[in-house]
Amino acid sequence: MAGSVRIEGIVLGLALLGLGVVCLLANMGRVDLLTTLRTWWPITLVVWGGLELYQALAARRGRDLPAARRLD
Amino acid sequence: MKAAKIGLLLLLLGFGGVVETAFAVRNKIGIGPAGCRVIRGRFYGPSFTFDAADEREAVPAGTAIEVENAFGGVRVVPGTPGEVRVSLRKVVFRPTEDAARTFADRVHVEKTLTGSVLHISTNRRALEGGSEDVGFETHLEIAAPPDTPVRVQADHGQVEVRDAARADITNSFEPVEVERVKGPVTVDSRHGDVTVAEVAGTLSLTARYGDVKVRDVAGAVTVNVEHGEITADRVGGLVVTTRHGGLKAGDVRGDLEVHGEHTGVEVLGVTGRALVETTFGDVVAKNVTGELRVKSEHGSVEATDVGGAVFAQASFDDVTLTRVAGPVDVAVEHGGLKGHDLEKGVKARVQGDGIVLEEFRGPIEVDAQRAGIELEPAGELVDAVSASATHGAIRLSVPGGSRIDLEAAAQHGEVQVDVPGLVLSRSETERVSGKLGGGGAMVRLTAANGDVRVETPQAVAAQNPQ
Repeated sequence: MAGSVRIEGIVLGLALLGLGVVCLLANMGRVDLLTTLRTWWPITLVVWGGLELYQALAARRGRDLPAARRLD
Repeated sequence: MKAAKIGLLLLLLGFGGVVETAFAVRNKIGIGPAGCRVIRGRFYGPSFTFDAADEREAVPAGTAIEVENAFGGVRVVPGTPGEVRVSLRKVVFRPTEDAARTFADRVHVEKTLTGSVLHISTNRRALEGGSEDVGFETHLEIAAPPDTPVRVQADHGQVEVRDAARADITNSFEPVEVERVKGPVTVDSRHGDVTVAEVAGTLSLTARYGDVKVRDVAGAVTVNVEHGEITADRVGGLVVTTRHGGLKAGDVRGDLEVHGEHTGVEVLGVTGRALVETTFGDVVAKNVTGELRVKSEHGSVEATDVGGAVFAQASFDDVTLTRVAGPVDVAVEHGGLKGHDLEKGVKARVQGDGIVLEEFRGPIEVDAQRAGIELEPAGELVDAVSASATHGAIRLSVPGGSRIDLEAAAQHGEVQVDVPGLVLSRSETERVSGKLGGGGAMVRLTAANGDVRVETPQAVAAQNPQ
């Protein structure tokens, strides 16, 4: 549980960091904020989906591991 | 936990929808060029500035310049003879510097010498006619030979013209400044302040929604202003038409003519005649050498030191006159008249408030409705006095040495006469007749529903100690 929370925290931190960098570059005139957001916003769905998948697989592995030990 | 995740997912999808919609709307809604929004005649949004290399054009002596520009300032300053130098500063409203620079590289000055006129503009029309919709400003600084005739057609940018032979300027949304012009100046401005100074010729100025300052114009000045304050100093004659503003004029070296609506007028110094008509504003005129004609509806009139005659009409406020050398003719509705040191007599019709004339000379013909009359001449009475009042009293001061024929009547009132030497031929409560000094000027005082008092200056002074 504690491990999954840490991963979510890392992902949230990276997301905020990325959004802040994009806004900063937009204010500096290096990128167009709206165009950048419009291009890259689906990546949040990809990252979130990947995170959920990872957590589900990790939970399944945790359930399977004690059963294998019992067979031994 | 699952509900929170579903909520977060919906929030994320909503954010994506907003971003997609904003992107789609930005490229299709027609409220301004991409990368900016036109609000009140200006661009707003991220922008980048680029200076182009100066361009020089050799011109024959006497060549005029015509400048056409939109969305950017125009500045015309004195340069070197035989050459016109054009500096262009470009401000491009794009989200990134690279995109702005790419567009700015396509903006350039266009110069065409046709006969004795050099036309200066930019390729804005060609750029705006393309498929791109980009907001950009072009600021032109033009160094022209001294005393060049200048014509500027500008929009959405400040215009400055200095040291020209003549100037013809049209602009909107930004200020206009003109200085040191040897010939006539014409300015048509909307939504911006206008300043014109040191013009040797005439000035014709039209402005909307902006204040106007004019000074040191040798020729006649014609100003038409709406929704702005006007200040004019040291001008060679002034004609003003204005609405919803105010006028302050000083040292008008010629005739003054003002037609105002909802305008207050303050004039200090006119070498000539003055005509002022206004509504819903007070009129103050001082040091007018010639005749003064004033009409103020719903406003007061105050005139001081007038060398000629004064014709004043006012309503719903008073007329106050001080030191007038010429004859006075006043009509007031719902107000009164106060006069001091009036040299050549007074003719006045007043309703609502009283007439008080002090230190006057010349013939008097005054009528007050629903008000009283007080008359104190500067010296002995030698001219005719006719005063009538309804629902008010009349009081006349008669200095020693006066020679008059007196007829005083007070209907529903009382006539009181206390003048030493006055020989009465008829003395009744409501009517008195007599002669002073053997007779002379006819003095006729008639009051209805009020008293009439004729007395010496000493008695008047005793009643009004100061």
